[in-house]
Amino acid sequence: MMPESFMDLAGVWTAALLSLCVFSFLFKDNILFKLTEAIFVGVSVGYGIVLSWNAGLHPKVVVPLMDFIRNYHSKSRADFFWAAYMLASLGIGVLYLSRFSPRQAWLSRFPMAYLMGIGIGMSMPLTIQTSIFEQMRATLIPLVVKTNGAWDWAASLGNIVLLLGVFSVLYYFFFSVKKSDPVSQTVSRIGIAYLMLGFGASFALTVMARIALLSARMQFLKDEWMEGTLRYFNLL
Amino acid sequence: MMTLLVQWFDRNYRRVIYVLVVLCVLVPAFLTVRLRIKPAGATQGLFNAVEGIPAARHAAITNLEAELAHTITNQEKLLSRLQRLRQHTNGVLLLSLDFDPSSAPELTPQAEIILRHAFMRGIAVVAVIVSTPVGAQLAQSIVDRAARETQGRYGVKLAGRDYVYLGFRPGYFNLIMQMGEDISRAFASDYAGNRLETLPMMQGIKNLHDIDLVAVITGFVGVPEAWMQVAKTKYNRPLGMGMTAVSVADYTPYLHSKQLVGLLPGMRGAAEYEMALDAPGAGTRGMLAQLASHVLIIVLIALGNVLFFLQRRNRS
Repeated sequence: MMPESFMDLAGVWTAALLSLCVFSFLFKDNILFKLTEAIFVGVSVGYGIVLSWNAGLHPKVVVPLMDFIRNYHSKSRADFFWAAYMLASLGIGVLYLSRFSPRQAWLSRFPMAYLMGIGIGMSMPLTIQTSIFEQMRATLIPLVVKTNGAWDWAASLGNIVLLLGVFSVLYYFFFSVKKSDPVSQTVSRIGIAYLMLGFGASFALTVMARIALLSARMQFLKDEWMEGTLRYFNLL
Repeated sequence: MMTLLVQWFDRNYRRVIYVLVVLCVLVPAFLTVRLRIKPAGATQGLFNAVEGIPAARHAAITNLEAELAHTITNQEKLLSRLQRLRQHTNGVLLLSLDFDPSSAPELTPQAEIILRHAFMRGIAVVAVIVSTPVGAQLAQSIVDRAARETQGRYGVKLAGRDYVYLGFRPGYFNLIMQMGEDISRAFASDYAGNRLETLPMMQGIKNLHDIDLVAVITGFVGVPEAWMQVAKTKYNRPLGMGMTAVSVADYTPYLHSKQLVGLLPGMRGAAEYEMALDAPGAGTRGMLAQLASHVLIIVLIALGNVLFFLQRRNRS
């Protein structure tokens, strides 16, 4: 991909040099890596604050409240209730800032309690339905599967493996009874084997993810930085 | 000499591994070899769901027409919904691009190929980001680029007519809940600042009931749960996801319970989707590097284990 303007080219070079500064950590910790890390944190926070203001606080709170204050004489009783609710919410939100003072930090518990109360109330029934009931329903499966009247051994085996995994892992995490007899120990060991398989899959997927990140960065350095620069100056 | 070499390797083996991994990733970038990739069931599920959006919309219109013919109550409400459904006969895809630059290399190819697929089939796209303000501009550039790249062969794709990018608003769970009731209450305007009621495309879309498929591309924990709880459990909309490979193991049970129609695992998911659509792109390009690096890591793990057992034997 060729940079279309000098500013594009400058952007590509900035990104490429910062990437190389980050990679320099692989050799050893150094000032360039620390500088890049600080730039990343600063830019992310600054960008996040501006966008949160522009996308949330300004259009949802400031603009409607200013509109209410300017035209308060023509507003209905419902609008007054809305403004009072908005100001009370804003007041509760401002209490978050008390975290900066060790003596007044306890005030921040009020907005947290407010948010937790609403959040839990809204999500609890949906969480139970989504992650418990639906998942339980998905384990209520036949051990012998028949497809077009014939025994489907692959599907049957899959269901048996799934059910065995669910029961053995649940049993492994059941700590109320001492598992001293051979049957309990065997079931627990099967549960551990399932867990290890799960951890192995997670580790392999993590490797895949990290390689993907590195691969995309290398592709960027090759395509946009090296080839893009050469193309921009008509050298390729 | 040999002892010196072993001592040097003991001190620098990390750097040797780094160099080998970089070579495994960098060398394939210069090669034009293309791997044969077969889409897995989870990828094919999401592909089929996007492919089936026009048919799903057609079925919804037919069902509603039949319901109207046999119902005398709620006629006005049903007629208004029928009018909305007829606005987009090829259906509507809601695409949530919930990621930031740190997971963009894995998730951008997924987002791009789903968008290209939707644009190729004439499906209207509502794009949104509900979890982080940092990814808002990145998401816009992905949507605009996909629209620009598709329009040559599949007609001009215009913002506001063929797709809408709503941008970011804070409070993601509440925001998704609001979208279920009324999208214009959650987002009064699109990312460019145009009021939603002025956009021709949004005339046919009021809430999640008017969406034929919700696709969520995310690298954040908590976001998939929020979409599943609201879009799937509460509003019963078909839901598909694309995720960073790290998160896939945690959400595969939702695929087996059929709460998700499909699940794309990282860059491989993008490559498989590209193969299903027969449109190779960034995902397919990255697979050779993945293959080389994975072979290297398997060899290194095996070598490490062999050395461990040899050392233990020598000690005993």
